[in-house]
Amino acid sequence: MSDIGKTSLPGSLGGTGLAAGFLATRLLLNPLPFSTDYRQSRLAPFIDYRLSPSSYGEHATLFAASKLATATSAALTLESFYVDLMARQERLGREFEQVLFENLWDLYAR
Amino acid sequence: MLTVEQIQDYLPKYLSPREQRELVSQLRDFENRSYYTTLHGTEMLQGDGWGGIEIVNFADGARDRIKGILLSNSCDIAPSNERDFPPRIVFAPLVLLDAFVALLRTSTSLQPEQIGRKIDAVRKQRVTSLFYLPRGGELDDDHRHPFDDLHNIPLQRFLEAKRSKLFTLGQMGFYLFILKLSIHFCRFQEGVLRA
Repeated sequence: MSDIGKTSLPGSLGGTGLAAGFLATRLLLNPLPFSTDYRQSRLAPFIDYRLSPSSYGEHATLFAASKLATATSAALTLESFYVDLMARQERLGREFEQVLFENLWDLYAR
Repeated sequence: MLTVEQIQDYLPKYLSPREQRELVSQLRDFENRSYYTTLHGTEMLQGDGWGGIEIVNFADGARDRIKGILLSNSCDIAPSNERDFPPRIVFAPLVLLDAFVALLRTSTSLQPEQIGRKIDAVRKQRVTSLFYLPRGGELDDDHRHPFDDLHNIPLQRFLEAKRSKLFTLGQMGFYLFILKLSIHFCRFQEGVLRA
């Protein structure tokens, strides 16, 4: 049986260092919006690191980053469905609305 | 209109990426999917259908009990939530689609093809002011509800009344409902200069 040696990582970074590093990474990889061109410049493929699952807790996964792209693609597909649905919207129409308006109370399902 | 960032925020976080994709694929195929779930048979949730909801006719003060769909947020109407003021439930009455079609057919100004095309658009959720509800759950026929015919009653009154649950929207049905609700009520591009 072989022994596996465990060595703690040096703690020179400390909590503050980690937080600063994390913040810098977020700002570099995911800059804050500056202008109205922001959305156009960040259309697919973009990965929002704010949505990165934590590596701590019941949903921890070493491969979390690989799931981000698929989550984003679900949002993009949902957006395109929403845009499609919106583009196809039409009014009920005057004659139809008139029939509805004049008979509304009687048309209620009871 | 919702942006991709907003949609990302509103995709349910309790669904895995695979389940989120499945939800979107169900939405894309909503005409062939069930809107309803058998879960939450007694709870009051947004998008629920209930029978026995009291309604008042604004024109003559008449009262009746009808079938309706709840528009209030689930947490706003949860009886267990504490509130400072008595809450009210916002609902929309359901209209039987066949009864509406029968009336349309008596109209001399509408051709059968026009009616057919419009009802097809209603079923495909393409009419902005309506949400179509296919038969399912305890709904024995197709219904729809107009978004601009909304009513409200005190929650307490609703709880005390003899009422019955007709359906609970499933994940896909609920998202479709929310998207239609958003299209009807939230149009950022209204084109009115307000400042």
